Amino acid sequence: MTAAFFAFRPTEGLTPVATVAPPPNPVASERGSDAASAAGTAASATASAVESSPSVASAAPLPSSGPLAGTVQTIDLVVARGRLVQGPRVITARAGDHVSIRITSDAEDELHLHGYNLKLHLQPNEPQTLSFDARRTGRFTYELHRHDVELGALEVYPR
Amino acid sequence: MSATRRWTAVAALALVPAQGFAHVMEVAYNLPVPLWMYAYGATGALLASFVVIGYFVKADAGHFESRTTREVHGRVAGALGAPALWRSLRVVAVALLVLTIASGLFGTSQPAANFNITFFWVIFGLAIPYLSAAVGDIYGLVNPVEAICRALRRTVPALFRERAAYPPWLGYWPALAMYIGFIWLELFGHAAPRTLSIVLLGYVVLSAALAAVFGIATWARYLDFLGIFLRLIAKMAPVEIVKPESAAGTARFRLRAPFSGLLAEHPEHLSLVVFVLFMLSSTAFDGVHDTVPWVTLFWKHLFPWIQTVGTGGHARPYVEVVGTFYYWQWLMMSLSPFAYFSVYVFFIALTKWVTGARENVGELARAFAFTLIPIAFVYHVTHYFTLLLAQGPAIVSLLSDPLGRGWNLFGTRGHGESVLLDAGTIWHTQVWLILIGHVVSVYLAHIEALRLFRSGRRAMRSQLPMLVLMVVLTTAGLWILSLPIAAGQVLEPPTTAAPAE
Repeated sequence: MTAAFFAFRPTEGLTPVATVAPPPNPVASERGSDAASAAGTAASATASAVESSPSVASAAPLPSSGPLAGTVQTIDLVVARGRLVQGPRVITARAGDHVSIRITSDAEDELHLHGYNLKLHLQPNEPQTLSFDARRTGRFTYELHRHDVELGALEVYPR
Repeated sequence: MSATRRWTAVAALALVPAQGFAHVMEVAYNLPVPLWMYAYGATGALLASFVVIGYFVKADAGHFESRTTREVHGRVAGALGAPALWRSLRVVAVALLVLTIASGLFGTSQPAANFNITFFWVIFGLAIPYLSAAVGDIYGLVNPVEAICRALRRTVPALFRERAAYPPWLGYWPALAMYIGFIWLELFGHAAPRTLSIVLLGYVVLSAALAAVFGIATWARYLDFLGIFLRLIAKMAPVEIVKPESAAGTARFRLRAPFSGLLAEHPEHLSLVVFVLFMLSSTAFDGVHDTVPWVTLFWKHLFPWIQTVGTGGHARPYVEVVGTFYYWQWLMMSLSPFAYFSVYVFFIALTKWVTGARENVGELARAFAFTLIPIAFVYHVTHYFTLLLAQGPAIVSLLSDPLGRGWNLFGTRGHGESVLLDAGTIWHTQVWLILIGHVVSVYLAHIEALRLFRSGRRAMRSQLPMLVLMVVLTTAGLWILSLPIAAGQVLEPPTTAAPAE
């Protein structure tokens, strides 16, 4: 199932579409905007990456809406020296779930979720949150760019 | 340190070699097929097999002998076979080979931004085989390495004068060895664009040297594993492309029933049977080698044993430990064709036993080998079609910027939208493809049996072991698709254990 020759192209997959209520400090990369119109149809994701303190993120999970609305999930990950030291390796969700990945890293880095093509800039020891609606089904890995290591995978199953 | 904790520590540290390669790793986004769908698929395979068997109850061999190929004549055939057309296509093929090698040597080291990675692994490695299955062995006519050798021979005739006769016992073994190397490169090589280009360049030089020793035609027949792989797949196509004697001749086309090309001949050497089985086992191995059960098997069951036997129980540096995991993976991959071959030969021996056939096991093994190709092919498609759709379109953009330097030669940079399918569509396509491949293989094997054993009753009896084998292969293929994946994580540490530090 795995062919080990390259990573996703930066422009492939989903392009983050503007959120309903734009977060105060969005850091999700919006590369590949040329593909935005096509990507917005079948499997569009409302994505936002919110820089927030842990208390804010846990206190205010974004409610999801629409026919596919599912449960709200908040996952905590802790990374030290480029390795996951706390939290699940696999995040399992159902299509339509609202997923918040809250990640604390001991060093500056960038988290990249393939398929959804979401990026989150990480500051040392400051929890950051990547929130999005998991509309696209499949198994998508996420990695740390600076450490160049795969942290785990998001598995979104059909409802 | 308790056994669990030690194992957890090892599992976590097994990530070490993956570092530095995360950028060149995996794009598969397939979810495991749900268990219920696997169960339905397996049951479907069994039921479909009996339908095929039932279809043959009153059949005799003569009924299937009458199906012949029909040569295509007329203006279209003439135009399609024109030497000028194929000469130009050969030029294109050589140009693409040169571009593939050059872009790796002189272009960006970013795999996704370099033309050569996508072109070689996705377009040549996936699109061309699937095209060959549909329209025949085009590669046989445009083989760029062969074209280079022929061009060299025209300039310096003395270069390729068949210095030695190819030893018959060697058969397809060298090709199989190269094929194993190719799969190793795909799964474990993590070859950066530059490395891939050096390997390709090496392959061209090695091929030319072998062609110089044994002659170009012998090299193409026995030693060019890429050509052999595509030639075998093209036997399924409803079109047979007849290669002209010389480059100046006209290629001819024959129409035939789909898959009937697999029955047209038997492999002349047992090594080709193992080659066919590696087509099956390499894909099966690719599917299984990063799943949770497979990885658990090593770390939980084999590794403690290796550690006790190999080191007398002393802990070794983790990097060394991780090495054993990779060596084990490589060993299993290289042994897989022989494991599949043993299973195949076992069922062939059963066939001989139940029919009392005069042919020996080797002859019977060769007779039925090509009927496994549809199963091997659908295995391949189910594993890789999502990758072809996700990454294949990128070639449109990469053609305009092959070196990844921001060029836009043809104005196509940034074009080529990747196609990501939803999990349900992928699952249904996978299960249906595997079922269709299974039915085709069962059907072909039965025709082969009718030809070999003449009487319908004996043919039917001979097919019981073959049927069991094919149901086993199909069920195994489906089962592999249903396994949870462990890629990049090696194993999830059990929650009871402390983090590895």
